[in-house]
Amino acid sequence: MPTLPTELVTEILSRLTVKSLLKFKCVSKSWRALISSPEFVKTHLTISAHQRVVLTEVRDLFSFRDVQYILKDCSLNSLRNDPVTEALDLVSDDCSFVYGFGYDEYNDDYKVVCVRHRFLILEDHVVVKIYSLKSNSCSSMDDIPDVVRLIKPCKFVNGKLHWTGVLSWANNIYGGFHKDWNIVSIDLADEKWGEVEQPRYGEEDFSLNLEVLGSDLSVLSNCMKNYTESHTEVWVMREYGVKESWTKMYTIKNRGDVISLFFPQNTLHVEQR
Amino acid sequence: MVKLKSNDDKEFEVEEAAVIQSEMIKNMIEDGCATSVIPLPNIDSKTLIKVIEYLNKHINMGKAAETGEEDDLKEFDEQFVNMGWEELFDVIMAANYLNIHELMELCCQSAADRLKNKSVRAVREMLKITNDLTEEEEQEIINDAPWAFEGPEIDDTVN
Repeated sequence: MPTLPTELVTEILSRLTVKSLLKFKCVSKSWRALISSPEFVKTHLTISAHQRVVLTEVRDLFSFRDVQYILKDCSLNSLRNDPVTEALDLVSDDCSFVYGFGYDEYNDDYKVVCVRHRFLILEDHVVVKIYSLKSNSCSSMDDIPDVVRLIKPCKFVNGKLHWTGVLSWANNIYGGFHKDWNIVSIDLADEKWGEVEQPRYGEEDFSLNLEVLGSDLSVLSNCMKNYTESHTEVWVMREYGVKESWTKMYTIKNRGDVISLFFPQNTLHVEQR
Repeated sequence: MVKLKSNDDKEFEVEEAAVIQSEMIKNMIEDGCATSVIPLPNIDSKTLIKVIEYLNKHINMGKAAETGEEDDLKEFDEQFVNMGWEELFDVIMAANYLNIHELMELCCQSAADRLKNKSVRAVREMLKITNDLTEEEEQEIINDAPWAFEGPEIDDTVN
């Protein structure tokens, strides 16, 4: 049996989940030192950023059947006990579910929030479940967001998960107008729903997408005047929770037919350069 | 054809197109150092046979995508890593030495998958590691993240 050189141990360990790694710090002094080292954390982050790992522990805990969801493994800085600063999007093909994943700094815990909408003829039925990685358990929440539907993607900012919410069925949700939308959040620490005040967009109607610019919550408002002319405004909330701090950063003009490419779910990434 | 010699003095002929998946050998060929037999002092014949099997199968990686043989290749990979733990280590060492990127990926991922749910005790045994942490140090690590040590999936078997 050969003894593996450290570089090969690193190669193998960097493919493991955070949970396994925290456990394997107990293997020996050298493993503890390796797994805790900033270099290793960086390698792990690079590899896991290219992979999507099924968080199987969570999967069985939601009682909904046939749910397949995947989340990007949370390497990040959790190994060094730093709070995670990046949102992790859960992917589901079923549009009646939305998920969010984030770090609860107050309780030092990772949480998954799952919202399921069921459309019944007489009433809408909303179920909210929240999973805690620390306690490895899932609980139902009585408190539900005051919207008829949450729209992906989910963005994690300031300890809260955010979605755009549809307030009424007056308009088709994909062609809806901004007056019918709001931004809802759930605080992972106290598990309470809230609303984020939106910027004063102007008079035109448009649809919204949530993004994160740097570490600030950002809104992309997409205004399509007609089939040949449209533009997208990028708004950033400089100071979380302060309505006046919303700033319009950019206006991107595009041809109308570009929109569908521009706004597929979750593929537009805004980076500060 | 390129001739490779294992450390137990067995020679193997491999097509150049297959063997250049090894960055190390590719460089040797480009530098004109591969005119006769290439000795591989770190690799035994049993391991080298496995590596050559992989290289021959992956010879036309690019073509596979066009001809729809990707599934076939995937199936081969799954079968390929279905080997003993120690054998897997030998292949990882060989792939690292020969610098065959794809093979490294495949085998390291397989090793990680096997370790994933193992108990700490099982990992120590599988990798022949002696625990040099004190009980207090161990408890400290557990206290930092007790949830990582719990759960029905923790597997204490050694294989």
